[in-house]
Amino acid sequence: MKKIIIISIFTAMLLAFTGCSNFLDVNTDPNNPATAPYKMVLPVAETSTAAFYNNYLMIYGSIWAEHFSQNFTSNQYNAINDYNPQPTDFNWMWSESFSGALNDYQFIINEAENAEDWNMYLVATSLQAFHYAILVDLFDKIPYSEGLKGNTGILAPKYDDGQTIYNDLLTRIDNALSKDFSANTNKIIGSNDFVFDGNIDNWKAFANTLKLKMYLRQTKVTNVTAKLTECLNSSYGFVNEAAITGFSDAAGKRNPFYGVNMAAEGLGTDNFRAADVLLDYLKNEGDVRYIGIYKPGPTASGTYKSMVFGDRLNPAGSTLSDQIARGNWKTDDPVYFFTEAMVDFMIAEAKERTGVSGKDDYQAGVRASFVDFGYAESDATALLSGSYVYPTTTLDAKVKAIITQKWIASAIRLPIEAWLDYNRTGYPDFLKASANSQIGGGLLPKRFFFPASETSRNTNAPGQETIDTPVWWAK
Amino acid sequence: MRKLTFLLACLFLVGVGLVHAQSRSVSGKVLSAEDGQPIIGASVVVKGTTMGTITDVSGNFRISLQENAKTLVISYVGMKTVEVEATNGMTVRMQSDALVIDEVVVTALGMRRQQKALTYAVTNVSSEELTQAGQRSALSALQGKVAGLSITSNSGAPGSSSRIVLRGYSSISGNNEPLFVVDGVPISNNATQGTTLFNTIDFGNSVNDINPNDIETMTILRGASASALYGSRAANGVILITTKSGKAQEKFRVDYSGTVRFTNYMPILKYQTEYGQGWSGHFAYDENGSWGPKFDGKNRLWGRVINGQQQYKPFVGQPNNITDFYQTGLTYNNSISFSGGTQKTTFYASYSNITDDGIVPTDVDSYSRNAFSFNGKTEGKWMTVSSSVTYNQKEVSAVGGGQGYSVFNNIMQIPRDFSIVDMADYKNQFNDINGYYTQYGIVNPYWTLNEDGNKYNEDHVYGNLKIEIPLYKSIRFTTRLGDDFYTNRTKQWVAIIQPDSWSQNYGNTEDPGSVSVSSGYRNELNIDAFLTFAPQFGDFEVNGLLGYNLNSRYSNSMSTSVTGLDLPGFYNLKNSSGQPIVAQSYSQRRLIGIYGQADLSYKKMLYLNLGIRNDWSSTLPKDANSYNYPTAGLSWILTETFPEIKKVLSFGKLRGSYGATGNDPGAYVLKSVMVAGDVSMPFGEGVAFPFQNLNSYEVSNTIGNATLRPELTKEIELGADLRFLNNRIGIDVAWYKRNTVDQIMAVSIPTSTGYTSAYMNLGNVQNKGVEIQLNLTPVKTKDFNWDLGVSFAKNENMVVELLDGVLDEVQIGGYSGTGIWAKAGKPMGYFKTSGVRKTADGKIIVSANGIPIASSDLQEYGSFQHDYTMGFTTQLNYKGVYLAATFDFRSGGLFFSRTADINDFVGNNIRTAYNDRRPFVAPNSVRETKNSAGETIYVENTTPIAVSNISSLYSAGGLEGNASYLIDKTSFRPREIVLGYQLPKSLISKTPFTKVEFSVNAQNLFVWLPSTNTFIDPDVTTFGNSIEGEFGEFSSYPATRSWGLSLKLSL
Repeated sequence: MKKIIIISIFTAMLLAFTGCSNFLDVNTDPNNPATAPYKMVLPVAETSTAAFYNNYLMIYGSIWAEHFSQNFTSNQYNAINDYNPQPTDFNWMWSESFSGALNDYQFIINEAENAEDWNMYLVATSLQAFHYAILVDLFDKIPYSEGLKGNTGILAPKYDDGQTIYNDLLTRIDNALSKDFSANTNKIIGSNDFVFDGNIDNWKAFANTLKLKMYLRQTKVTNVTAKLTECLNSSYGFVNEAAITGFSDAAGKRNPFYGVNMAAEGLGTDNFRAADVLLDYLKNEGDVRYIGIYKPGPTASGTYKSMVFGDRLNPAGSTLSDQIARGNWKTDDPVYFFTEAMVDFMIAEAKERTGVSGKDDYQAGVRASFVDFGYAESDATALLSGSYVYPTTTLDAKVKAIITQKWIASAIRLPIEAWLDYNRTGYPDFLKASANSQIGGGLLPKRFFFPASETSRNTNAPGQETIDTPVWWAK
Repeated sequence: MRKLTFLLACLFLVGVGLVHAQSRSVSGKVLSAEDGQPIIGASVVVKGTTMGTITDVSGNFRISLQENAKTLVISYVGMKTVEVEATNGMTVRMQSDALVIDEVVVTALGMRRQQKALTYAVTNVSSEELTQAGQRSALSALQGKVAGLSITSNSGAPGSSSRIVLRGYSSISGNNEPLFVVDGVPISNNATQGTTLFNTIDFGNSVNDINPNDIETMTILRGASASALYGSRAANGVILITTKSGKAQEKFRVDYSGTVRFTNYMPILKYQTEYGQGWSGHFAYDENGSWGPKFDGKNRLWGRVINGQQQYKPFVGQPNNITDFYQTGLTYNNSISFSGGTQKTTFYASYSNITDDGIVPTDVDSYSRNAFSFNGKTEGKWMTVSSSVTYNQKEVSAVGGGQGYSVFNNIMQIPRDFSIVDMADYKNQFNDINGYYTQYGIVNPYWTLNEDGNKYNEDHVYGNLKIEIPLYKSIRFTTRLGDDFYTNRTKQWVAIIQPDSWSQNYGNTEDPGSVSVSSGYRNELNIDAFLTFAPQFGDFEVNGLLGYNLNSRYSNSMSTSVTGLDLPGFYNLKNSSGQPIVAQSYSQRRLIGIYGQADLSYKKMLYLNLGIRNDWSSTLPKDANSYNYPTAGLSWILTETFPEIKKVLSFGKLRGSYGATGNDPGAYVLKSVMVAGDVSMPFGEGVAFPFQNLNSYEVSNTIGNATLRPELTKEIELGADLRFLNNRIGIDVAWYKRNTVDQIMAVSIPTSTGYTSAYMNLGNVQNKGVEIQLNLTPVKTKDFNWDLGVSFAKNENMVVELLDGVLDEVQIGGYSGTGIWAKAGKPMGYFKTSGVRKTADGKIIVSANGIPIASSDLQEYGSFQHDYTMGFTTQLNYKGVYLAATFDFRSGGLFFSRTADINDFVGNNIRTAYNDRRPFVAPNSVRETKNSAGETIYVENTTPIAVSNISSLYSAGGLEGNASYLIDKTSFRPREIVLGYQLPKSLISKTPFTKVEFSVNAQNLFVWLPSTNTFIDPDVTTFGNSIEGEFGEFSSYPATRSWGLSLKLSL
């Protein structure tokens, strides 16, 4: 009998454990929320775009726009310096774009549309279009119509061609601008928007500025005159500048490029040295902006020395390394989506292409750039009437002047834009092949490779083109 | 109540067949003649009838006899069958029968079965074999001893982890470790490690902390049919550990075992000894590499100018500078146990302590462990209660590896003309942060050693309470309540590195300092309850089992870190104005299982084994959380059927079995979630949230899957166990084919989907192989005995399929440049890296400088899998003197070595001195160019690689690019060699000791490596204990060799 009692007790104990029907019902994730308000997603989405545009593209842009060259005694960006990047090198920026920024914008767009919150709808649509457009500029083709749909089972999205994507993005922007911004379903965004603190008028201007940029990109392949006029005449106007500020010298709070490339917490070794192409140009022109763009090497006694672009294997390199000037990036540099100078130069080019003089905007751009690099507007005056004087001759001469100045102004800010402009216009016309080019023939890179993470996993990924194959708008 | 009723019903049903009408009753007791312990479950049968009973937990039996019946036949596995006259109150002593292969082994759930009855391969390793060489861990002691069991030490660091794999890797991304079960209770084999490229730390795994002296036997259940009763926990096999217990009616006994061990650096890396500091062939006072000129013996100034002074030294090699850096490590390992028992009660209690200081100077690499163990048992009148509890407490201080300021990264970049030990005074003006000779991302290794730290401590307790109740005749009820829990704490800190502004290191070599602390807790409750019964029907015997299992696992962990310290040298989370980064994670999962098993035997000649288990898991979708695992096996004892062949074949068995086990998904993977916002970037801390005082959430990059099924492993096994000439020659062969299908993986998907991974069931990984264990006793005389064992295992691993169109290929380890991958038709874990570009006919394509161009795509190379492995054990005994050795040979496979890579980069590897570093034309090389028609053509390359470019050549991997760092994994080594002497009884009979034994023992005395591996021990890894660990190493703690003195005493 005792045995029966003991066994009964055990059995009862086991039943007590398992008897309640939800004993196995313990699989709800306590570590992560099932969902979050879309407004709370905007900060990280904007920051992802900032990391992409400011870090990855500053690295490629600085070298391929020939503002900087890989340092002799370090090796991080040898492959970029030598025009020999590997498909794996593009994995991070690609995933930061698609699974970091674009998918979050899509979440916000979907939620905002359901909530008829057209303020947020415009912000997220504009930022997503901004990000998509640059990817198209760099990679030529990207997954678009089938992209961002992993949760619906599309695991090998097809690639769409650049023109189709551009057209659709412009349609999306116009659609977002056409919404009812007085509807009472619209919500205030406020400080969750790092760029404009939720100011919707600024976002309308941003959308219009973005359209201007996207139409200008197509000048070589499409007649965009009417569209440029439409942007120039738009009541939304253009942004003065668009940037995320508030970076500081603390872990996880630094300007993304600075945190990775300049801070000791990052690579710990400065890989960038002043290339002769920009530094010597500025010194020859007597343009003081080089002092804002560069800082002297520790053994250069305060002088600004350059290295031959790409010449990282120079035998005297280890001695030279300490003498050559380096970049004047700072930990609290804003991340720019548009700088003031760049907007001015875009307006100048657009005006010229629609038959209106862009001179004032050109000069405003140069002055803004002087201010950006720590000088007064007046410091530009002599040059603007000297060697930087605005041409009066052909459209081509004017475009050359505008784009060359845009190239200078983009240094340590948005150099990727200078490289893209070069691929479109061929200006500045004195860029040269890297001294250590691995592709020969005096060729310059004109596109990025599809990342290895994509080509190895997506059966619809196109084959790689050579690095000197132009993208669709540069053909 | 329903369950109880069922239970009672079973009880009566089974009992019915055994009830007969009887007339005389006899009771008695059955004991083992050897140790006086009661024999439980011995069969007592009335001769000439089928009437019988079995002995109870005290060895007692009561049986009824017909008037004319006089003789009882008493039998038990492993004992000689006894026929005795039935008298009331009789005591029967049974002799063990070593010649009959009636070895009893522990099988799943702690069931004891005759080895010969098993339908699958099981290997038992005894306490003796585990402790003979004085190893600190039972796992290390198993190396090379069991065919199909691969155990590899991650490094020579004190307390470092071991990777354990049975019959090859099955799971592409999941756990590949076997389940460890101590006295019937699953225990965690927690390994706390850092496996990133910048922070590789190994604080060891828990099973290594078990005191080997407490282990009675380790039983390795290799195949699915052996482990199927463990269901969804047993996909990778099971290792059962049975701890020691006291013996009944044994006098109080004390055992002591002590070892002192000396450990040394194993100098595997072969350095060039001709060139010194510099780069591109030129001397440079601040270079972290040996690309300078040839040694000329002339005095040269080098390093920094400090206060107008600079050091000078003759430009000569320091061939032993690395070896000199390391010291002799010292380990003390002491263990004492007390045991004994009365007729009804036994106990065993032990304490053991290890302190181990490794080969790196100072005590930053150290391990200390205290282990307490208790095991007791008492027999009541109608139940037996036993319990065992173990408490392991350990503290580890580890040296980090990897890139950055790690000690190993620092020392490997030191030029070949520097004396490293002379930098030990790291506060000296030429050795400190301001004055250290280079600014290229490294600091004085002694700085890192003395200023940075990685500490870990763990309290690990596991134990069980077991109750056995004989219910009726052979029917017994057993329940075992077990629990395993640990808590751990980790603290890691990095000192502030801030050169002054006048220093040439200013702006380059900097670190703001950081502190991170974390703690973890895990608890696993496991309850088994089962009924066993062993009825007999004529020539048929049945061993039956019906059971129930409940398992609940809960864990949580928390970590906090701050970067940017305010006060130097003060390592506390308070010491930063920066925002702490915090993380917290919980995990809970539960499982319920029921199982049944029947072993049928016919005339002790044919054995049939059938089993099934059904599990319900909390981590599966609610409506599909039930799944089952069947098993079946058959074995035939040839020598019972044809006894006439026994003259030659003393024992012969053929066996075959099929079994299934599984793996349920991890917790919380069914649904997609949102996660805390984070923008991470390579080489930086990224942008962390909260940013600008805002928190943010983002869509998780992983897609959950609400239709996941459990992973399933199915295995067929065939084997033979043949012993010849009175067991002097024994051979055991096992062939198996194991397929693991429906693997649960967070599959990397193209990120253009908006996600980086998605949970899926996919794939079929097959392991097919042969294991041969050969045991020989070439000499066996009264005084001299020689045993020889050879084990051979060949496992062919093949990914049969992944998921067509979705996942053709998946990376399973490594990093973006070089990794191990899986795809259909190839063995799991083949390497991909960027080699150099080659033409279709295999010529190397070089650049204008004559340097091979890296391939733009990753190219495929061989896998990490060994072709085959062999173990050799030998033991010679002569009058108490014994010599034992275990050798381990592993053939084939590749691993990645960053040690090779960095030493190429800095010009320290011996191969960088190739051709006296004079210009040479890359052999068989061409240049790519275009002909007039614009077509790509290749012309012979005549451009030699200039002296100044030789360093660039090696920094890109030499003539084979990154593929140069995929190294042949083949190795041969003596795992342990022991020379010992056990004093004869005659010598110690007048002392209080019953045993005195001492030995000299050595581990890893040397390692033989192929000529292509001049870099590092292929066993070493910095990527953890799972399949990723097979990728290789990223500037690891080196391998070591050691020798020790051991003393064993018994009182």
